[in-house]
Amino acid sequence: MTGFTQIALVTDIPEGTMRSYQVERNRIVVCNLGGKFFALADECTHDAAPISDGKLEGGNLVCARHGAMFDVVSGAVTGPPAVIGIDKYEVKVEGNNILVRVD
Amino acid sequence: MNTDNKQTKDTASFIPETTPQLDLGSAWLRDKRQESRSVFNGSPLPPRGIHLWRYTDPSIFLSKHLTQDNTSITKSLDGPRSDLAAQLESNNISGLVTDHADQEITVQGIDAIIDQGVIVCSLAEAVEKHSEIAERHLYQLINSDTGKFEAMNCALWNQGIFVYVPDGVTVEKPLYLYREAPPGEQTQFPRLLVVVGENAELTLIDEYSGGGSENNCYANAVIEIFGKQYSRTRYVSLQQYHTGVSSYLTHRAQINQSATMLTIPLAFGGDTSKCNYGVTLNGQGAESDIFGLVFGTGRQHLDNHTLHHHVASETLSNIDLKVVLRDKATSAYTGLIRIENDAKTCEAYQVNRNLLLSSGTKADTIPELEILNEDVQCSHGATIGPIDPMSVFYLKSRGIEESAATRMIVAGFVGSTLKMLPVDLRENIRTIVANRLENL
Repeated sequence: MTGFTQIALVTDIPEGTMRSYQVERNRIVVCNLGGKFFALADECTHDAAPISDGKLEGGNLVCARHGAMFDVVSGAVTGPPAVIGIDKYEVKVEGNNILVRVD
Repeated sequence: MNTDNKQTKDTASFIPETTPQLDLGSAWLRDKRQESRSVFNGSPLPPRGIHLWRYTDPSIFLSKHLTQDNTSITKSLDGPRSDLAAQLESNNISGLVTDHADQEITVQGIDAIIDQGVIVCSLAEAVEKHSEIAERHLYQLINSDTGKFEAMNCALWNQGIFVYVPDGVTVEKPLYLYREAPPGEQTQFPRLLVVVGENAELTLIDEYSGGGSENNCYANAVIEIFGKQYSRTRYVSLQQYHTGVSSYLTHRAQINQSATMLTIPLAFGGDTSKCNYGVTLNGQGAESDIFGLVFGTGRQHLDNHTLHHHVASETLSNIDLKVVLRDKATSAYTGLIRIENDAKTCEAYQVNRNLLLSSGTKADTIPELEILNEDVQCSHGATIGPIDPMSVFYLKSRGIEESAATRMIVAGFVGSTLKMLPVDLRENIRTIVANRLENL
């Protein structure tokens, strides 16, 4: 699959929250950080738990299972026990639609 | 957490009361089917993130095509596949059972083993004609309590296959079961019940093939195998579905005193495949080996679980699962060894090796031990990594091209597993592995 896929409406994800979506075989979490949207793979790189089961704290995603932390903007690890960052997806907003590029 | 399925799947988490399979078989069987239907309808999908479901989306294994229509089955083969026909012709196998999408069972070339008292027929026929053996074993290892998708099979299997080897009988050559998925948008529920009597011996090759290239075919298989005391059973599961098949397979075997069981899972095909192999060592001195090979290419996702459950003392188990991945294929392996409190002086070993041939691949491995007494010997280990560049460099320094060097190293990696296979099948698997290494 190439190009952008409409995944949600802007109004679906209030500021400071996140929401998980299934796009074909990809599970994606979309976060609203200060009105900007970021999409990452919804899977903790430590033990594959859904990262969307955790919390959005400031600019970090915190895994509910073992507390691994990831930067929402870059997907990079910001706290152990994870050592590998989460894959991020390109996002764009068109009107009220959030689109994500899943290759 | 809020979770949406943006891509709406044509799924069904409900088996209607009018589904035709629910009326198949004797009153006893119909009760079991209805009970399984109730469990399936009443149980939620396993939440993603729990043990055994962390790596695979369970909704993949739901299907709206629960009703099977005997008239719509399209056989892609008029007769047995040419290589299997040749094996039958040359007496390299003791019989061939062809399962057309769990709709029609064809049995060929079993005259010699019938004379030994061996029974090979559809499970539906066994429930009628050999009801005492069938009812004593069917649903004993896998039933509606095992899980939601197992309950689905327990309610909806149609024909199934039954193999019974009487006490003291040795079936010299492998019995070949060929399960053929239809190419269209259909669901099948293959089921197998095997009973190997006391001091009896059987080698079974259980191949799952067919299906189409679109992501629209679903297979949910259940296998129950009983090895009575002093029996010797070898079970090979060969999965080479086409790329459009999602497959879910649950296998449970139970072996009694001094019985041996060799299980060889081989997984190559399908789009998403989730297999769960388990052996219960139920009698003193029982021994179980699981030596498997998984080879994923493209965007395949292969999820495997093994269980060795030591219930009796002085039992021995060994697992060696090898995984090879290329392109963007992914694999998850969870392997559990459980030793009960009363099972003293047991030995249990587990190894999972993963070879990653491309940078886009991913393998997860979780070896697990649950040991409830101190008088045991156990070990487990796992490796994940690419081919050692020094090994490639060494072979290149001997004038071997890089692609040939890679093939040699992979052949060496899988070689010890292939050695366990019957000779004809071993050559077939070597060819499959070689084909999957093309254009690497």
